Formats: sequence, structure tokens, C-alpha cells
Amino acid sequence: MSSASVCTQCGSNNIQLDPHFCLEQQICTDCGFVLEEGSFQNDPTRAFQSQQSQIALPLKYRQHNNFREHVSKARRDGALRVEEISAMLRVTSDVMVEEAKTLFTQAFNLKVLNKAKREKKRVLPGCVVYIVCRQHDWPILLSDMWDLLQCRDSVFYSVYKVILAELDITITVPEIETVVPSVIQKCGFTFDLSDEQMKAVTQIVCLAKNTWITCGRRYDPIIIASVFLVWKAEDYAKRKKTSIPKFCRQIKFGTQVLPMVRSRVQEFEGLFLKLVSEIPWVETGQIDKKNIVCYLSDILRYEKTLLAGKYGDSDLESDDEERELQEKILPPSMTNRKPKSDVRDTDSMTSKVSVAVSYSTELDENDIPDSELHKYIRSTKEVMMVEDAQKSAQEYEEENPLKRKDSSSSRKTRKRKISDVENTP
Amino acid sequence: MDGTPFRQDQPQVRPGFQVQPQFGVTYTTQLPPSQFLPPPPPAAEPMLQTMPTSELQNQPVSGSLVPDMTTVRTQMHYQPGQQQQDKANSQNKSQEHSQPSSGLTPGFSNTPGVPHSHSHSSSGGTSSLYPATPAPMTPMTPATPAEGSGIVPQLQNIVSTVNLGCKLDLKKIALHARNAEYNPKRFAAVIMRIRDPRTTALIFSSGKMVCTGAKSEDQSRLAARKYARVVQKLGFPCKFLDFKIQNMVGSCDVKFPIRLEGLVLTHAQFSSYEPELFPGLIYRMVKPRIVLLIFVSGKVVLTGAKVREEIYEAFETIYPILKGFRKTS
Repeated sequence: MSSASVCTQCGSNNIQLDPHFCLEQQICTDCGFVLEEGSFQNDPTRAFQSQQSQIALPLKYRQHNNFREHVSKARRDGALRVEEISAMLRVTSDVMVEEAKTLFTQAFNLKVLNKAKREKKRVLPGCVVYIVCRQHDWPILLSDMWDLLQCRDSVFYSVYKVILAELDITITVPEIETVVPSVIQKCGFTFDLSDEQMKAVTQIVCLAKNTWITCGRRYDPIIIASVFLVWKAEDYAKRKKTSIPKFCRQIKFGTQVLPMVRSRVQEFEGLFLKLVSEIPWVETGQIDKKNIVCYLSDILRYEKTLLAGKYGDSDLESDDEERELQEKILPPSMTNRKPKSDVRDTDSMTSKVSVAVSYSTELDENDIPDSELHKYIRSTKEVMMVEDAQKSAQEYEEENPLKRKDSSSSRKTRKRKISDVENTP
Repeated sequence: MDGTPFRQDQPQVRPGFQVQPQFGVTYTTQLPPSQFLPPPPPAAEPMLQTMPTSELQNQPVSGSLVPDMTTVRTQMHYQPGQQQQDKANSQNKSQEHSQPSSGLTPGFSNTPGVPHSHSHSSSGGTSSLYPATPAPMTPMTPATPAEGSGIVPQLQNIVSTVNLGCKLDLKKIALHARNAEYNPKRFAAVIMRIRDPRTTALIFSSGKMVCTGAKSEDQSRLAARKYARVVQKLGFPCKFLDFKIQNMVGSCDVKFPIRLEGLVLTHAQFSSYEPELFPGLIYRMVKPRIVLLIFVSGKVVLTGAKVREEIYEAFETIYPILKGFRKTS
């Protein structure tokens, strides 16, 4: 826009530039005549900048709207969510909250997560808070986060792994003994545990860690099983008939973890039976899994000696596998080996037999004998029967257009299969 | 079909891959361990051409383990960390079937360094039936038994793909095949199953097919050919193009418990262990590029391999690491 020095109307020299909205105008202050107004074509701020592949907006507009530091709504909401989750977890340290926000900004800008589904973006603040808490050695578990966020464990874990991989962060799983108080508080038992009982629970958990029970398992059921045994041992006469389901009913999520708690209690009882056999003043003939908790205090007091007795002569290269399995302390998955079924044996046999195969691109009769081929192809009669059946099914559906149980039409939210964790080898 | 060669089930050895045999390592546990066998005489004629088809068909193929060269493996030890060339087309095999005899014959199929007089083009879809001439390998030298683990991973699953070369009418296939299921609303492919080898195939309308469930490379190829032949019998002009093994899964047992928490601490950059989610440790090996699932019971699952040597190499690499986490601290 070329600047005029003299007003063409009155001849005055008082020409002023007036930023009228986003367009600059040259106005004579004496008569108010608009000498020249900015043109979109001539305005250099509106020129297309091919280098940045963006149309540059006028300077005033950018300054007014703080264009360079514009933050999207999703990012703002995510930062607020980080603060909310930190407050729910009672993260009082401002440093940790700021670290979480910084990490959230970095994770938000990752290209992998830009194209992710909304479900994954919703759990991003929770992942970030978890990572920061673990970096500061907080005794927090993954299960705590997905319970807090009410999200699927697979979704949370997928976002969590992406952040760790892309931002090169290493996070270790917390030790089980550090998590005991937080898990007990989360369970919300109807009774209070004394200091001695807390100490006994921690000792049992450490014993489980040294005897392979915690390896590959969730921490919650192990801690709940330990609390159950300590609580039962405190007043055995009154509590000996209390079953595990009844005990777990007082916990908020007791029904979900009941199968695991039951199997952990059985493993603990089996372990205690093995250890109590080393105690010289105990008659093992009268001890069974029901009353083993009466000797819990002795077992925990002499734990190291009893374990040394089991591990001292341990020689895992011994030929006697049965003795090894029965007497030595091994992971439960090694001692609970199921016998292989006959079907698997036949499969393993057929896999070792030689196979003749052709490398030709043309198919011929030798690829599959006719006797076998006819097993897989329907006869004309069968085809007609199938066609008739399909027609009648179609006609029935047209006549009765009711709700069809079709897997594609209904989407059920996949619940976390707790039993799957336990059924793996 | 006269003179059509058939290749026996052999472990695949990529050309240029150096192998060293080791005593005490056998692939087939049913047979007694075979000793180090001398290499066969050089410039051997391709026996398949002279072998009549009737003799091949009369060979026992199921039920009994005949002590012929088809099931005898030479003892081999795959040194970890050796450079491996990319495996060429699956037709470029280095082994051939020799004339069966009454006793144990030299391990012709697995013996390296055997020159072959014929050649074979490596492009897929050619009509040549013979595998390509392999690069000469180093002669076998026995390694000390202490170096190897003595455990051989067993293949559990092989996933392969093949192109049938024509468009398919899936409705027609589902109608005329007994062993097929097709639900277009759920999945846009026909799911077909056969009993021998016990496998499952996904057949797509584009003519592409995925075959899963086989326990060896040749079983996977045989199963894929059977599926293709069934589809051809239904009236489609099928061929067998670009057969390729996409994934191999193996498993084994080291027979001692493994402390996973210790392993994840020392190998944090390769390991991922979340007991809240999965009881095993996921170890992502860089070379070879294999993913291992390691469990506290000592069982190891190896997956992500394109050839079985990668599985063997990965296991030989991880075994000394696992031995370090054998007992409690």
C-alpha cells in the first residue's frame, strides 16, 4: 500500500494510518477523507509464503489472537486431566505435576498417537502420571491406574508402551513389599491390622518372593491371601471356619480376584507344609492345610533356616525329577504340570514323519489323493440340500425380521479375563 | 508324472550359512543320536530324476519312523551371531533326496558343501522343479559339547501365504466345500480346514490364501497345495504362485526356573515384564530379530522367524543369559 503525503480532498498534510480492524487505512485527520485503504493483493502480510506453506495472517490479527502460542482444546483438556488425576492420587509435589504436564505435551505431539483412536487419547494423561510416579519410586501399580481411569487394560498398556518406546523411558515394576500398604488400603478391609500383623503380612510376601510364588503373578491376590492367613492365625479358634469367598466379600473387588486368592492361599499352605517339616519340635503327622496357620509364627521366625534347609542340598541338575518336584521349592507352574493329552502326542509324531511335497506352480493329482479330496467336496445332492436350507432360512428371516444374534451387529465391551493370566504356562 | 522330483521334509539351510555339527543335538528325538557322518561324494547325480515315482509312493509316510535318510538329521550346531544371508525363494533348497537304502545312509539332505550339478531359477512362479544350487558351505567340524545348550526348539506353528493367481467366488467355495465356513459379515474370507496336515486356511476373494497350523515348512507347503487343489477342483483356474513362509513359532523348555525380575533389570532395553498384564517376560532380540516369551517355569516361546535357523540361533543366544538367572539371589 503506497503512502500518500497530501490529502486529495483538502490538501492537508496530516495523514494518519488507522488500523481499521485488520485493514490499515490512510485517513486525513482534518477532513476524515479515506485516502487509501489496504488491499488484500498488495498487503505483504497476506502474501502466500510457499516456504511455510501457510497463508500468513495480518500482523494485528496474529498479535491479538496470540497465534503462535495457540493451544488446541484437546491439549488444554489433557493438561487439566493430568492435574485432576494427580489430585486423585494425592500427588502434592508441584514438581511432579509439572513433569507430568511436560511429558504429556511431548507424548501428545507424538505422530503415532496423533492418529490413535479417541479411546487411547483419553488414557494418555493417566499413562503420563503413572510414568512420573514410577520415576519417583511411588508404589503404584498398573492395575491401580486402569481401575482409576475405568479403561481397558490393553488400551492403557498399548499407550504406555508407545510412550516408553518413543521417548526412551525405562520404568521398572515396583517391588511387592513396597506395595503392601497401598494394596491393603485399596482393599478396604472391615478390620484394622496392627503393626505386628502388617509386619507378618510383609514377611509372608517376602517369603513368597523368595519361593517363586510372586514371579509372573499379580500382586493383589498374593497380598490379600497373606492378609487372610495372618487374620486367620490371629484367632484360629473363631476363624477357622471362615471361607475365602466370605473373606473376599468384604473387599471392593473381591469377586474378581477370588479365584486367584484361593489358588494363592493353596500355594501358601503347600509351602508352609514343606517348611514346617523342617522344624524339629513339630509333629508333622497331625498337621494339614487347615491348621498350618497355627504354626505361622514359627515359620516366619525361622524362615531363613527353613529355606536354607530346602535350598542347601538343591541340585537342579539331579536326575531324580520326581524328588525334585516334590521336595524342592520350585515355581508352582513347574510342579503343577498337567500330563500331555494323546492328541498332542499324535500330532508330534506326524510332524516328525517325512513329507513329500512338490515345488511346481501347477497343481495336479499328486498334491492330494482323490480319496482324501472327495472328503472335502460336497456331492451334488448335498449342495442341493444346503441350498434348500439356506433358502428356507432366508425366507424365515424375511418373514420374521426380529433381532438377530449376529456377532457383527453387537459389540460387547471386552472384559479383562483374569483367569487368562493364571492359565498361561 | 514321470521323473517329477519330490523333496523330503528337511530343515532349511540358507546358502552361505556356516554350520558346525555338535554331538548330542538331534532334531528328531525318536531316533537314536547319529554320529558324525562323512559328506557324500561330490558331483552326485540328482537321484530324484532316476527314482521312479512308484518307489516314492511306496515309502511309509505315516505311523512308523523308518530309519532312512529322510528322518535322520546330522547333528548340527548353529553358532549364534553368524551372519546370515537373506533366504532366497523357498525353492532354493540345498538338499536333495537320495536313493533310500536299508540302513542309515549319509545325511545327504543336511550335509553342507555338496555341489549340485543342476541349477534352478530363483524367481517365483517358474516351472522349474529343482531347487537352486547353494553356495558351498564350510566342511563340518565337531564343536565341543559344552558350547551348546543341548536343547533344540520344536516348531509349533508356521504361517505361510500363497497366491492362487485367480479371483475366487467365496460363496461358491463355501457351498461346494464340506470343510469351509464363510460369514461375510464377520470376516471377508472362507475358513477352510483339512485333517492332514492339521491346518487352517483363510481364502480371500482376491485369490490370496493364508495357511496356518503346520509344524514344518514342507507340511505348510503341502497343506497349502492341498487347499489350492481343493479350490481348483471346485472349478477355479488356480495356480500355486509365490509361496512364502511369513512366520515360524517354536518352543522349548530349559528345565530350570528363571528369575524374571532379575532378567528385566539387567536387560531392560530388550525386556518387557509386566506381571499385572502377562506372566511372561517379552524379550525382543535384535539379532536375529526374534521375540521370545520367557516364563518362570523355564518354558521359552520364540516367534517372528522366517527360517528355522533364526529360532535356533535366538535360543542359543538366550540360553547362557537364562542360565545366569537360574537360582534365587
